[in-house]
Amino acid sequence: MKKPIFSRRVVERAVEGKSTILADQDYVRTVTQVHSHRSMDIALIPPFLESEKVRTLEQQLVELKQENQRYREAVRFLLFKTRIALDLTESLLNFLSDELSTVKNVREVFVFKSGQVTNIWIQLSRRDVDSEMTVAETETKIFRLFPKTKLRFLVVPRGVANLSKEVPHSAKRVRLSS
Amino acid sequence: MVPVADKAAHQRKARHNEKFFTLNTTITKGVKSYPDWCIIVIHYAALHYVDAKLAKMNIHPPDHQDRDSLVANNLARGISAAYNFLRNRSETARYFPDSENNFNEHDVRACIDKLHVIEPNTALFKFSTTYSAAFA
Repeated sequence: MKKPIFSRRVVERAVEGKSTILADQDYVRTVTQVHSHRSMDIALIPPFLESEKVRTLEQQLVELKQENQRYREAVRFLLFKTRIALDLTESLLNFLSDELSTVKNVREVFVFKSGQVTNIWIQLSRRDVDSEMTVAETETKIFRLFPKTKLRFLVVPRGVANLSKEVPHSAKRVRLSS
Repeated sequence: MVPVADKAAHQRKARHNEKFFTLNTTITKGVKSYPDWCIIVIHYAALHYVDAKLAKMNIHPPDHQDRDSLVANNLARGISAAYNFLRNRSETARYFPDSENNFNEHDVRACIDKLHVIEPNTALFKFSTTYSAAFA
């Protein structure tokens, strides 16, 4: 007698819709018919229902799922990097606005990119140790917030140079609330 | 690309810069005449002091921008802020024409105070007391 491809229990579970092995709808329908015909033994399941086909489909499904997972991860990574790149200037503008708005003698702040470097130019009304130290502490905070970003600061009093005349047109001005 | 130097080599260079500072001020009364160059020398002394501290951790900054980030992320917050302060003043002194007219001996003194935060044993801290008295 030919050995059954699946045990009776597996087939019964398939008929009840509980088996994950019998995913092929045609196969399930056939098995249902076979199972409902009491006179037929499970061993009489035709050869075309052999598990090879199911195994191949399941293998393909696994491979597709893995491929899909890798694709999703790659897309997620690219989106993350893009978001960082897009948000860097915006994040800096917000941070600088929060940190420098209340600092005495900070008159204007500009942010712009040149190549890989993000430039932050800070115009002071006049030279003042306390204001310059607050700016220097803010720089440290920014270096710690963006450790992988190449940042270049320029802090200049108005008496030395007028930065608003020097900055490139692409520069964004930080909104200082005060 | 900068050759990698160890802690002792950076400290030697920092001391050398400090000696130049004292020479400059002795010969030319330079704090008044060349406050911009005094600030630049102080910054370069500070640069080698922070490089010495980083070298102790086997960190060797390849350029200025990397150094700024490495100082902020590996040394104490106060040292990083003091270094930023000196770098900002030094760049103003170097890059802008007539910047020497915008600095005075008090600005130089403020820079020495920041160098003292970075390196408490700086020779300039004692020296600055002398020249501050001279300009008082």
